[in-house]
Amino acid sequence: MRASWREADGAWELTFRLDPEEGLTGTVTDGQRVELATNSCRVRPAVPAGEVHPDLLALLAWCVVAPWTRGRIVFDRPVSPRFAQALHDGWGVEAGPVGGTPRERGRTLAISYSGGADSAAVAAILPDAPFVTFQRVAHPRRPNRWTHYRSDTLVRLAQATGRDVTVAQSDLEFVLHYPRPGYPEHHAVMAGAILLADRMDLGGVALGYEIGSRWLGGGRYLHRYTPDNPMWSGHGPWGTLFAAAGLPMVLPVAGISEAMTMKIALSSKLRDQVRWCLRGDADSACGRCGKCLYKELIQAAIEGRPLRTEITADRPVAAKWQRRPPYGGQEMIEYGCARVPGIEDTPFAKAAEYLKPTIESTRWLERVYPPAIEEIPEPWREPVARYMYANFTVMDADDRRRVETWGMDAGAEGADAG
Amino acid sequence: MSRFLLRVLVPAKVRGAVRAWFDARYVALADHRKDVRDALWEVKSLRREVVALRNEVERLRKERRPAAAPADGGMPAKVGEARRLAEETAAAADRLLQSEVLIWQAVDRLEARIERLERGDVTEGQRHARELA
Repeated sequence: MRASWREADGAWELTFRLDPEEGLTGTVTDGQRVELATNSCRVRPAVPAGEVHPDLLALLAWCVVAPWTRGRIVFDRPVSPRFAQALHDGWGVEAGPVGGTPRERGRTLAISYSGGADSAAVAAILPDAPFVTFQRVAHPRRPNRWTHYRSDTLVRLAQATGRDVTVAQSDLEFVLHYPRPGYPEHHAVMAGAILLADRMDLGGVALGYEIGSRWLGGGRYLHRYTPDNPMWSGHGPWGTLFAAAGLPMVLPVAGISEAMTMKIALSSKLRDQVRWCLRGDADSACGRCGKCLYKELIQAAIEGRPLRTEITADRPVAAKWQRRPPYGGQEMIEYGCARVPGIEDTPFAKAAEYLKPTIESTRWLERVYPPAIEEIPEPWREPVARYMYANFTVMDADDRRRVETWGMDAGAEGADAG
Repeated sequence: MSRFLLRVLVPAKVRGAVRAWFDARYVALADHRKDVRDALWEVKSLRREVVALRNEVERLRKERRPAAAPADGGMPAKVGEARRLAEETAAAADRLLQSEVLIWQAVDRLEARIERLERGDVTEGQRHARELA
């Protein structure tokens, strides 16, 4: 892989070329197979980035090209020995040319803000941290066939919070052909923060990954305890690489569940700007997509009320919860099914039947998992720990066992299901 | 009592004048009857119109499908065709972009080979010159 950057009028353009042994098909860190669509993309931060340390440019390039890189990568400017070492240790990739000194960590912690409940919770916990937000814009080489995705709405909501918001526009998601446009690696969402790290004097980027994503293998990365989560653990390949670029990832809410982040977000000043749906208009979420349904289950659970939805079990968006578990974000399905009154008349009836959760069996999802706090780098561990321990009960041995054996019986269940 | 007093105290002439004055201000009974008849007739004709309109709606509703087809002619087919074309063009453009990535990869491979050959040629050439000297 060869990656080079060109800056013009405040926009940074990345162009990359495949080595002879590389192909259009690649694999993301979470195991998802992806296919390359085209080999260039741009990032345009709302403020000029100025001089950018080569390790930061290499880090951002790596967030885009990692799935397709095999064996080696040549950057257009030398990366520090520390950065090259992290690439080598994490992926077995030879990076070059090597030269110069590593980047010093800055003093500011920025929040990679998506507008959803998780990052709004992070924002509530860190009231002075500036936001950097990613805005998808069209790629000049690919007609946009995905206009339902309302990136403009999300930016307007972020700006309406009254916080210090810096928008970074980018078309980097369009380098993906398969499965659809999206971040080639999840870390590409931090494009703006990476590019502006020197200008904003950043020493870390805070993300809204909660216990499900960090410790329970949530999302498309399935359903098991992941202390060595390759994407989000501090000591994993990505954690080490970001730290090598003087920009460690910080996960302030990794010790609590999505129900608790939603609780924090909806009782915060940002309540009116919280939006987890990517499809709705300026006034409201669409209420029709799978994500709206999933988040409605969590919200109904924390508010102790019946589900408010027009989605029925026979709708395609509800299909996955008619099948047997495991489900992505299953801990929250259990939490919701245990708490929402009249769950048997909702699209989650089947899931509730399979999982048979109770309030008691899901109480650990209202408590904080201490190893997640220990993982937060200084100097931000202390304030986050103070917030967490003041607002949440610490998990006891039994709770911790639930976290640490999560998904262990999935194999048996799977066999049972035939 | 008051009626009696009124009758006694107010002369018939005046009473007649006052009654005439009042009557002039109100519609006569015959006119009333006529108005009511007119209103009834109006209602009846409106009812007939409503019935006719309802029948018309019913007829149009029944006729909607067969009627729409000749009016719109080839439109659904054209929309379908446009959609097919848009989708196929997009897919073709995607393949072109992917091919371009692969072409650059091939160009790079060739460049590297040419570089190697050129380096080889130089050494060949130097050896040849040495032999001649």
